[in-house]
Formats: sequence, C-alpha cells, structure tokens
Amino acid sequence: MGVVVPLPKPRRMAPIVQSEVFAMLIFVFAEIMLFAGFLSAFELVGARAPAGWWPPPGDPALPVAATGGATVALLLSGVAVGVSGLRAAAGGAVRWLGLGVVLGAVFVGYQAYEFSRLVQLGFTLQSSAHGGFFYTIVGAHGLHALAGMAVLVWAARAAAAERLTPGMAGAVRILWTFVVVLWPAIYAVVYL
Amino acid sequence: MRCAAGFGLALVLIRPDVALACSTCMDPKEGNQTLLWVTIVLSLLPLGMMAAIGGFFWTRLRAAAAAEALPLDTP
Repeated sequence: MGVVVPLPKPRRMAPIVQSEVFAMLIFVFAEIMLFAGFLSAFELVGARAPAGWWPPPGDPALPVAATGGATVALLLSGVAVGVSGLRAAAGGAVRWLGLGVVLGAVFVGYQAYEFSRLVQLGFTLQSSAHGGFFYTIVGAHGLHALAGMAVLVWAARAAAAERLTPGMAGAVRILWTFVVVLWPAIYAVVYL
Repeated sequence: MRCAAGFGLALVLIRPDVALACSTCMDPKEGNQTLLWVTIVLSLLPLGMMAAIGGFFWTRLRAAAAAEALPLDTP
C-alpha cells in the first residue's frame, strides 16, 4: 500500500487587468480608428478644395467661442469622473459621478441647441460636403457622449447601492475619458 | 457584359490614370502634404495603440511578478 502525497495546489496569478477594463480598451481603440477615419476624410476633402472654398462660402460660420465654453464643461466633467475614481474608497464617488453627468449634460445640451440653430440657418446634412462632415463627426461624438452619460448614471446608481466593482468603475472611466479627450481633437479640426 | 468588363480591364491596364476614381486621391505634384500626413497618422495610430496596450500589460505584469516574489511576511 503506497502513501498518497497530496500535490501542492498550483499557484494561480491574479489577473493583471480586469476583464471589463480590457474589453473597454478594445472598444475604445476601435472607436479611435473610426474617428481617425472621419477626421482624415474631413482633412483630405478640405485640402482638395480650391483656396477660399473650404468651408464653402455659403455655409454659416461655426460658433467657435460658444463651443469652446461647452468644451470647458466637457473637460471639467472628465476631471470630475477622474476624481470619482480617487474618491471611490472614501465613498464620495457618487457625488463626483453626478457632477460629471451634469457637466456632460451641459455639453450635449449646448450641442443640441447649436445643431438646431445651424439647421435654422440652412446648414444641414445635405447642404454641402462640409455640412455632411460636420453633422456626421460632431453628431457621432454627441451620440457617444449621450451613451457615456447613460453609463455614468448607471455607475452612479451602482456606486450608491455599493454594487460598483472596481473593474466596472475602471471601464466607465475609460469610456468617459475617451469621450472627453476626443472632443478637443474634433474641435481643433472641425471648428478651428 | 463580359466584353464591356474586358474592355474596362484593358483600359485600366493600358491607361491606369483614367481609373482615378477615388475622391480623396491626390496628385503629388499639387504639393499638398495632407495626404502624406493622413497616411502616416492612420498607419501609425493602430501600431501606437497596440504598443501602448502592450506596454501597459508589460508594466502590470512586472508589478504583479514583483509582488509575487515578495516574502509572505512583507508588510
């Protein structure tokens, strides 16, 4: 009768990154390429236009200063969501996430107002190639901002109920950081 | 139909310049550098993102390996 010696359990290394964070990173990378394609096409078409014809002379001037103000609101919302990660342990995440949602709503609300004003001035998706690009790029970003705000609201509710896992919180912050950091690039290319 | 396709293919092979149908294609003689820069950015962006995530994983892996190597009674 032999002696049975139990083998030591194999050590399993803790995951180096949460699955939610990794999945969000892949999603964000795909979205970065989408917007890089949009902005590249915008630049190329603008570069091909004869001097003085881009943006087309008939198109209304884009509200650079007012959109700059909305940009500041969006950047501040990014700061608020970033701080929510630092304050998660102290239980202050909900307030900061809420502030991020409010500032994000200011940005999206202003964009909706800006779209309505521009449409009233005859600047539409079909009025010119410039209009098509403007509504496609800015509208796509606005949809991402709306989706990001919905996710922030969900995260704030989950944090209030103490159900928000570190992985989900990290994924939410990555998504909102993408929305915030992408906007200055769009603003610089499309508005300036 | 096949005749027309053959004619079109022959035309493209003999005179490729007539197939310049892409709205974003540019003549390098125009002296416009936009296409060059856009090509560089779009080529390097995915590589840069892959390098960034590779670096991120490498850093986390090294930190995790260093933590595993510590003796158990280390505070």
